[in-house]
Amino acid sequence: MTTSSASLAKQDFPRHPQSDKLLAWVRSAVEALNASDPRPLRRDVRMQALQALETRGFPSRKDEDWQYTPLNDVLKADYATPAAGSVDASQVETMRPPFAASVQVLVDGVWQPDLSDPLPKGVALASIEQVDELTLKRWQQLATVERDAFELMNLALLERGAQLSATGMVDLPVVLLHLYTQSNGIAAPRHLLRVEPQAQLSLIEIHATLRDGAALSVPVMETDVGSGGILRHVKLQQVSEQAFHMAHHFLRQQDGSDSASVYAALGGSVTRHMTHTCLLGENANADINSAGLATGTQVMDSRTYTGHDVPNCTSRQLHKLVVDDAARGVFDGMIRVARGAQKTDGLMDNKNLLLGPKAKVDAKPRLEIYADDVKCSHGSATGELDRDQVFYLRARGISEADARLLITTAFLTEPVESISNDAVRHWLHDLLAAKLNP
Amino acid sequence: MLLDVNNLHAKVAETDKEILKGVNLQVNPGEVHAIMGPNGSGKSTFANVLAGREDYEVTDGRVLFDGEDLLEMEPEERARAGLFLAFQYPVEIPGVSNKLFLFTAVNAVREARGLPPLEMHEFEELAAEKMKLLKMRPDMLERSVNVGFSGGEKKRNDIFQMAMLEPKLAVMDETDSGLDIDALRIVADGVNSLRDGQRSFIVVTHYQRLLDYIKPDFVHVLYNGRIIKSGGFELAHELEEKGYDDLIRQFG
Repeated sequence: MTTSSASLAKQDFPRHPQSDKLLAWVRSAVEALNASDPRPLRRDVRMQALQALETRGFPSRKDEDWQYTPLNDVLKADYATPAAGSVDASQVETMRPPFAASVQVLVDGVWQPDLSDPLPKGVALASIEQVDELTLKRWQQLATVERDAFELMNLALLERGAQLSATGMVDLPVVLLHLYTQSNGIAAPRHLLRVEPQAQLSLIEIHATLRDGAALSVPVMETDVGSGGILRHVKLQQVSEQAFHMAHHFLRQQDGSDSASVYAALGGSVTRHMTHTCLLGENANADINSAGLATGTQVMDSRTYTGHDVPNCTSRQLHKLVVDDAARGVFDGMIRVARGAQKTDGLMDNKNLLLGPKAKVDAKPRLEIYADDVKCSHGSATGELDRDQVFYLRARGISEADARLLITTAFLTEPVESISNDAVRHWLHDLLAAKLNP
Repeated sequence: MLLDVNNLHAKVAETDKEILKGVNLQVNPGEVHAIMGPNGSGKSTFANVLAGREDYEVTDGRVLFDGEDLLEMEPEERARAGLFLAFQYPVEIPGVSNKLFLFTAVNAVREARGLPPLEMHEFEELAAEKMKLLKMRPDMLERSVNVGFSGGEKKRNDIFQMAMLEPKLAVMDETDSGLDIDALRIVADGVNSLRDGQRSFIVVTHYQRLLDYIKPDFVHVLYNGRIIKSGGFELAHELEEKGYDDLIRQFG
């Protein structure tokens, strides 16, 4: 199942019949942004992305990538006109994670230096406003119909976000604390992260809404890890239960680099996070994990693309979804080994637990291998709580509810147990456990 | 009397197949009873019905444990009341550490007995002491329940749990299956160290060799869902020499 972008015709993008409302919102937002922006290159990036988006529309469920993730509610919602919200220091304080870190606050995607901590040595941060021409030209090239609709939407709304770079060994974790203020707003921050060669950075993204409501966040992060660079990345998605979140993380790794990334999903009505990794230099390693707990009628979609483009790279993945009530979980993972990428070692494991009788998970792990000397495997299993395990604990005096909780918590939190920073690991573990045992 | 089993009938819940067809057994405090029998006689079913496994449905009979109606109790209530099942196949539970599991279990049982909960450090001291007694490596406490354990380590882990929970009655469901002679001896030593004249045991086994180490007070032969013969320790030897066929022809 090869997809060559050049051969894709317009009919390959089944269009959602309710696309127009959100498209109109995006168009008017782009026009407003461009009217007040004197810089032609940016205006052009936005306009090209808008046109590509309008051409392909938002995907219907006939689109293979959106088969299990319904967009009806996302497209039907009434969104407010864009406004820059404000928060005060006490609100930031309540959202601050309980571990030592340099917290950088982004309000509706706009970096707020006044509300943020001093940056640790070796870290530079600037608004995406200052992005260089080369990057803008690259983004121009990205604005084509082949890209994901929400990625295009993010590009069309280019305005907010941060450029972050790390040199040397950064010893304090950096937190990007995203606070979305509008109950029915749309925010589309675009971040650039660069871990310089031999540098080391731990980055934690938190995405949270301050008000309940059908708000939509569409963040994109582009990360480059230079030769020998080390990135530890955690993303916590805890938007409100009515909110939508459609996120991409593009990760590009050079030779000898090492990344470990964990996505934890707690909130949202319909949410998706895509980690798109390209291993571009030899002897690079990527660990990609995720843990999601969907309850009520939540739809949680977690997906990865892992491109082994050169020989001698490794990737390790563990993805877990626990789905209760009438919630839905979606996992989609693709490992692609390019021609000539010999000695690739890629493992992808997906395990899902169904707690409610109406709970459902759709999982689609895939391998595409064009090299002949590789070690790749993928597995996916979905099941209910093991009755023998529950009985074993009950036979030792533990109540049925506690037995189920112990087993479910251990199942759900396994993907975060690999986080090396003890305080960060405990924080994330406790958040997942707390949602299981409110 | 600690346990009084009267005319117990039970079937497999899913298939309606009757396995126990009128079992009678009385166990007093401090007694060790062995239940032997050929494969498929209902030995394991008996052990599991006592512990409350939901795969089986009791269709008739009565079981009193310490004067209480055992069959009305949930599995965890039976454990808290002092009944312990050592599993034929101890279950692996990935991600749940032995420590957290047993700490939760010990305090659930203590609460039911009106005792104050143990602090973690108190629990750890107690666990270290019992593990030393059972010649277990201290790191077993940190590992996930039974994950990556050898057959012998799993059984020893069960005995360790027994030592921590201090039951009134331990039901050993073919604890000897799949154990080599060294592991068997360690398990038997563990059981013997827990014999204090008050604690009772029901040892379910297919073979005599475990009984040589444990030396039961009574031996019962279960066949086709009923106890067809009871006797002293010598009955086990008789079975070892002559096999079950003789007995079945006579009483079965």
